[in-house]
Amino acid sequence: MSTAGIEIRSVTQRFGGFVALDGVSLTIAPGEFAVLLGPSGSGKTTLLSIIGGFLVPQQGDVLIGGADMTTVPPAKRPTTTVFQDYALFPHMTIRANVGFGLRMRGVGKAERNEKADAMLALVGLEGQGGKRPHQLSGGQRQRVALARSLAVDPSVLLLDEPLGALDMKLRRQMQEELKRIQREVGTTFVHVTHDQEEAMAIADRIVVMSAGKIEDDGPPERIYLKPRTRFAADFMGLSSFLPGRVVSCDGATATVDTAAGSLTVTDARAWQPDRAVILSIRPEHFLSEPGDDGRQPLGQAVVESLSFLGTNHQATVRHCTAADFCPTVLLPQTGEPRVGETIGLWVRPDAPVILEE
Amino acid sequence: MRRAGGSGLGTAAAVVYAGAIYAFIFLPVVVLVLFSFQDGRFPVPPFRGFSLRWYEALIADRYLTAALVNSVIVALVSSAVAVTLGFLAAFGLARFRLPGAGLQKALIVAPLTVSYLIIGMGLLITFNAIGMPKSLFAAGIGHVVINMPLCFAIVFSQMGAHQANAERAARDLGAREWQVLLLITVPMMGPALFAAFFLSMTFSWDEFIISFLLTRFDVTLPVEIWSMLRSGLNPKTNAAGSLVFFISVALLLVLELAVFGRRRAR
Repeated sequence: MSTAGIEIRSVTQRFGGFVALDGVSLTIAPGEFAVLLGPSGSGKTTLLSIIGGFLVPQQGDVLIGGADMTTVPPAKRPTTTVFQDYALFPHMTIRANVGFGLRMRGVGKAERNEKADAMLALVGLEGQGGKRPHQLSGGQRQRVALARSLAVDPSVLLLDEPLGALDMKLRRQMQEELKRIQREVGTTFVHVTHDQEEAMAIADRIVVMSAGKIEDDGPPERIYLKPRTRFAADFMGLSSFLPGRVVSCDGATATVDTAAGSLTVTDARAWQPDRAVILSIRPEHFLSEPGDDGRQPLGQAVVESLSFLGTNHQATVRHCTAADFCPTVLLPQTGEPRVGETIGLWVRPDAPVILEE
Repeated sequence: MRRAGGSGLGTAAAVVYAGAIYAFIFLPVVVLVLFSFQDGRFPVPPFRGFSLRWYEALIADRYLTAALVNSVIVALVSSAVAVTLGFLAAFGLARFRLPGAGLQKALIVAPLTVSYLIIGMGLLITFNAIGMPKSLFAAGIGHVVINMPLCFAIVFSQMGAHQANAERAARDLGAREWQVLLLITVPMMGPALFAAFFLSMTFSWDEFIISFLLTRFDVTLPVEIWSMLRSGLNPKTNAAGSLVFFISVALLLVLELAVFGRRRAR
């Protein structure tokens, strides 16, 4: 199986007055499973279309495997796409669907049927080659689309919200399958989604996009734990934001003054004193009792609403002294919290993330 | 919602009314077909008994069988050309952004509103001017002119995002434009193309005015029947008319079974 890296160089694309991509540059390494994550209108699908050759960007270049592909049509690119609606050929058998790309490359019937059956085995559809698309379920059609795109041995596989039409359980299952298949074939996968849980579950690397720009770019853990922007922190899971001012910093920590109290945060950046910042804190990083791991008190808060998630209680609380600060916190499974109850808040120094205003 | 009963008088009136409509529509055909089996020299009541002698006479008539073959050829060829041109126009207008697409669509469909007489006369004058003789070929062109807009309208209405996505997927997998057209679009549009073809066939099959104006020595079946009628009514003309009718019905049945039957099975 082949694989290739992708290089996007300051690509800009406008549709009328709407800027879909605004000077986007991005490098994806060979064999990487990259996910373009963002809300609708963020430009992620436009970027995928530009990589796939369905759209020629108005400005900028696209390199695949080091070769300039900016104006090369889709048929001549080492890429294939798994479309959102699968776009299977309804008048052909599953085997003929999967073998179609090879047929276009002049591969003989016996050979392409053999390859098609091998690809169907890879996606878990052994023995289904003789059926037609309308005889399969949504999840199975998805697998056929994947097999069809992989059968021509592309260097880069593009996936345009491929799991969007599947129900939750099937979607989780297909995520694991995608991950396994990507490891087996070693092809570079570029996957577009607006589902941050899906992105975290499958990606080696997540590119968070908003309004035609890249907001953050890195491994899922890093983006979740240390997001670079407020948008990335907000879009990737739940986060509570607490505005404040930097009081001091020493190259290892920074102390931030907020309406809820002063916090010392692990942060190596050199902040200007009195700089306005925002602290981003994940629900699970709020602790409800003191401890000896360096956790600092963040005042008290009243529980305003509660929902039981199984592993935790998720609570929205209103801070007693900073009334504008209503963070979402996770409380222990067995605590039996009640609405109206007052709880203490503690935060460890490595938990909050300092974001620029 | 059906309201039970109603007045008996109202129901009876409705039955009479419906019966009258069907009689009005089908009585002429029934009379035509019935007296084609007349065992006598005149296609008028009373019915003297059942006979196939007029059909025998029909088959024995060299001019009539030649006209029948001509009609079949003109119908097949002109329908094939009309479907091909209509499909290509529909594909172009559905898939590409063309200048004045709305106007182009209107221009292609416009002949549907022009009477066959006007189209026939227009072609006759044009062919005269360029020195093209009257022939089956000329009549065939006339039939393409009347059927192409219909084929375009049928095919265009069935071109949706579904095929467009499949076409895009085929291009992505390395198909060239002609391969996309032949291997993806045409098979996916199969039912619409089939329907357009058979509808064209039925229209071409019993079209009279254009064929009458544009043919001379080799004529189509309706024109031949018309010339038989000039020498007076006899059961043979009934038999010829019945033959045209039977073949039209057969074409429509094929269309119904092949296209609509298949759609129902899905």
